[in-house]
Amino acid sequence: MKRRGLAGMIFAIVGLFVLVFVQVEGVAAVPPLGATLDPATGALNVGARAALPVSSSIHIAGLPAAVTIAYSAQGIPDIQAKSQRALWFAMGYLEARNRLFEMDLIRREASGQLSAVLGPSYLTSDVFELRLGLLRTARANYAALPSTDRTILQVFSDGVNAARAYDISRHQLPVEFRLLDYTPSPWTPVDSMLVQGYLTQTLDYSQNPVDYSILVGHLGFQRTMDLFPVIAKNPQSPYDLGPYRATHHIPVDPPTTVSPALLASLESIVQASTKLPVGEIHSFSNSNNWAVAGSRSSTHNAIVAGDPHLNQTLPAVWYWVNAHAPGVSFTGVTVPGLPIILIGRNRSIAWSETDVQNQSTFFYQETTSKSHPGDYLLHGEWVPFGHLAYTVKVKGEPSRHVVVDTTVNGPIISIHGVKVAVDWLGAQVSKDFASLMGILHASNWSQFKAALAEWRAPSQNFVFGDRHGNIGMISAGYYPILSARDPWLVMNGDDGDRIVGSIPYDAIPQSYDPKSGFVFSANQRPVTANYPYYIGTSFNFFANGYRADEIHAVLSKKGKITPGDVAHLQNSVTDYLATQLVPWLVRQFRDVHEPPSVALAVQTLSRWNGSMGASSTAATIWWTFLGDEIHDTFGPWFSRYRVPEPAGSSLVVNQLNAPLVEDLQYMDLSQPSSPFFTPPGDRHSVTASTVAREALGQAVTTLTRKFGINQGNWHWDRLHFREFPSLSGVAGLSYGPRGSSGDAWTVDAADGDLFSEAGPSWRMIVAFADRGYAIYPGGQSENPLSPWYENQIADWFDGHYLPFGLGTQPSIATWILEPSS
Amino acid sequence: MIRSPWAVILIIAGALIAYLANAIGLWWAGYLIGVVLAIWLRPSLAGVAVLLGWAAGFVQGAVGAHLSGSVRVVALLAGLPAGLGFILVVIALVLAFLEGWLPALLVRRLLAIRSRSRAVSS
Repeated sequence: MKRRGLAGMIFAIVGLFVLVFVQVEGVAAVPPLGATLDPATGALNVGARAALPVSSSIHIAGLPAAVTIAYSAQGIPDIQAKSQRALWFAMGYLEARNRLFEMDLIRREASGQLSAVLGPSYLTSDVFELRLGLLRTARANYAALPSTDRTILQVFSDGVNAARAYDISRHQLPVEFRLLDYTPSPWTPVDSMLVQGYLTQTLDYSQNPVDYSILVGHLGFQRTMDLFPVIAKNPQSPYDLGPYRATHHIPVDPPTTVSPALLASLESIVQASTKLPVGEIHSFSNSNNWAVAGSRSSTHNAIVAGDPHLNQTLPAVWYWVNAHAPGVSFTGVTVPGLPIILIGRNRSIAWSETDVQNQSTFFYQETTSKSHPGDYLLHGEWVPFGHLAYTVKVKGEPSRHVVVDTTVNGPIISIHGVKVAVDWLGAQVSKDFASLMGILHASNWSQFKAALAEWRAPSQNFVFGDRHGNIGMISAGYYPILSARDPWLVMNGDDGDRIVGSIPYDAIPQSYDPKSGFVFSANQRPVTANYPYYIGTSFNFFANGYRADEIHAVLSKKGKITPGDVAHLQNSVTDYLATQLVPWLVRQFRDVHEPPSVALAVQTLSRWNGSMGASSTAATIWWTFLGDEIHDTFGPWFSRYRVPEPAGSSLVVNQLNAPLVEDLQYMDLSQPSSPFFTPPGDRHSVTASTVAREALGQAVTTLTRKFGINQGNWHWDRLHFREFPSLSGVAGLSYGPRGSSGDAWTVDAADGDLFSEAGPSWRMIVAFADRGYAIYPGGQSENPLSPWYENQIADWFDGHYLPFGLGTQPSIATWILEPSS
Repeated sequence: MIRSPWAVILIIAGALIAYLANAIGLWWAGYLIGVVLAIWLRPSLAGVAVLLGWAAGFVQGAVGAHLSGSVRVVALLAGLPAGLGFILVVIALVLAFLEGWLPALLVRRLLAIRSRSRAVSS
């Protein structure tokens, strides 16, 4: 009996110890279950936090003046603030109430602090970010801002922290914080600069020079430049046709060589990059914008259209807001973590952006020697590497110490072997925030252009339209002039950086009120081949231009353009390349006997208008054929010269390799006997016609195997899907995959993979006179159970829009924010 | 050991206190409730009281909210299949019971030792 009592007590003590441990500390990846499973304040209460707002007064300490926020049925807030300071505060408060986890995730990713909360699998990302130095740049950017802008960022941060405090005090932090077992630290102005830096990186950080040099190392310089030329050989549609204001001679120095040791180092960089999270390296080029002058518009006002293409996630990258305060009034989209809109309109003008995609990363090979450990060669002398030391916290593991070597050419980005430094323009101080503030207050082209004069990175094609019918486009950004002959390759760093100046602001690509009555950009080379400055190559990294070609073709048609026409174009799924290449393809089968299935496919293609519609059989055949033709043409060359093709890199031979697609168009239509059609080592020369016929045969075989013999069932939406992954990485909280129209270069673009996760992240049409339309694929709330989590996706899919303007929308609830005494 | 109806009243009181404590995030109050109730009730009944308090809070939170959605989302975020969401609720109920039961068990053992040692000394 006595022994039983003792055993019971030991059982109770041990049991209690285990229970307390599980509830207070958690086990492995399982968070502490005590707080997590609290029925009122824990994770299971996520549904209660998803309720739509109700009208109420909220007293907030530190709020500069009263603010009224009216929510539309779609969750779009209309902010009426008594002062501008109160407006910036309210922006922070609103963004944090709706997107705090997203904001925290972005700043953590940008500053290399993901492993601290997500575990060791994110260490690669953290180390990469610390090397790249977004945190260093964010601090420098903040320090360089005018004091008025710094004050705005501080007031915005105060608003974020008021919402954070509200959520903490009411146990209403987003459920992800509870499950990951951490509380977000207070927001600071530097965090906003990190968000800006993250956007710059997503749009601007490319490793194409590394890829380029790998190609040179395997294919040789001449063959590489034949396939990946500076100026693409196929027809292009630049928006700035000149005449250009300056002549500039690019200096010539000895050709760059790629040694086996450098090649090995570069290949390890590419291999490591494939393990980084999506978005850390610019991987696809898609955004459109255009403006139609009042003289060409049915409304007699300018029409401005913009649809930036980004990774499509839930929650979305954008937060839609209408805002008014004395002296400022705007509507558009911001990125959570920033106090102002990036795209939208004020009372006088409207604007949108696309990525210029000029070369913005310059790589340098540094010379080192075993006899001078810790040094690199600079201007003939050995100088020591700089060192930046970081401690990276890792959840569940000891912290790691990371040392980043730095040179005058930038941080060392290589992992093994030869040291390679990167000079990324996004790491320069750029007063983007000040520029955006200037745009908010601009009312004409001169003011708009002046506001962008100090914008450096990422280079953006800013489209402009005003209420008087004027239009314009300027590719704002920093364009270095280099002394190197081949700056698109990894350059020799022994002489320091090769930047000897920059293109003057008045000489960068731009256009104002052109005779055509429209301006447009879609990541194409913005200027003709006569432009006197080097700004990038077809591989590094202007888009292949087919979206620009389609937009140009549609806007060039005679007649007035209506807002409806603009919406139709924004949702266009016409594949411009198909309209050029398919008629040629069909001609290759004239008088040729083919199996019935191939003949039927040819017949289908012959009746096709190039539309990548969801139910189109021709679209399925075309896309599959194109992949086969590219692979059959260039694949043997890559194999023969052992070019590595890591999945996800731009070295892969497929439809997403923009220069190879352009080459193929040119070769099929203008150079059908190109030697590249004949596989290396093949004695018999092969022509475009032969490759194309075989590729179509392969495509038909592949599709028959996949979908059966009935070609009527080969609908494009059975092969091509769009999905909107959750930022949490949980498939069950994502939208889709859903069969979809479009492809990589339709105006309504997908990312080119058969499961597309990127595309138009915001569609906006401003026709002035307060006529406007917009939508984005997502919702205003990050709570998966909120009615505003993904509520706009269905309409976005169907090409519908919501009203977009400065006028007040009907509201379902109103918050009155009042300063507490 | 107290028997009905006082036992029922004590269980309800314990459940009410657990419910109120959970409402403000004091989930650990279940341990204290277990300790106190052990003076009058069997340990298992102390566990039941805390369990009922947790369940009351959960049901209240579920009214008007997405109960099934909540457990689905939490399960997904926790890396479990959505269909296993209700297992989380079961786990929570078991933990709530243990919060009351284990401290109560310990207290009862201590009380037993104390009373036994008193008996020996007298």
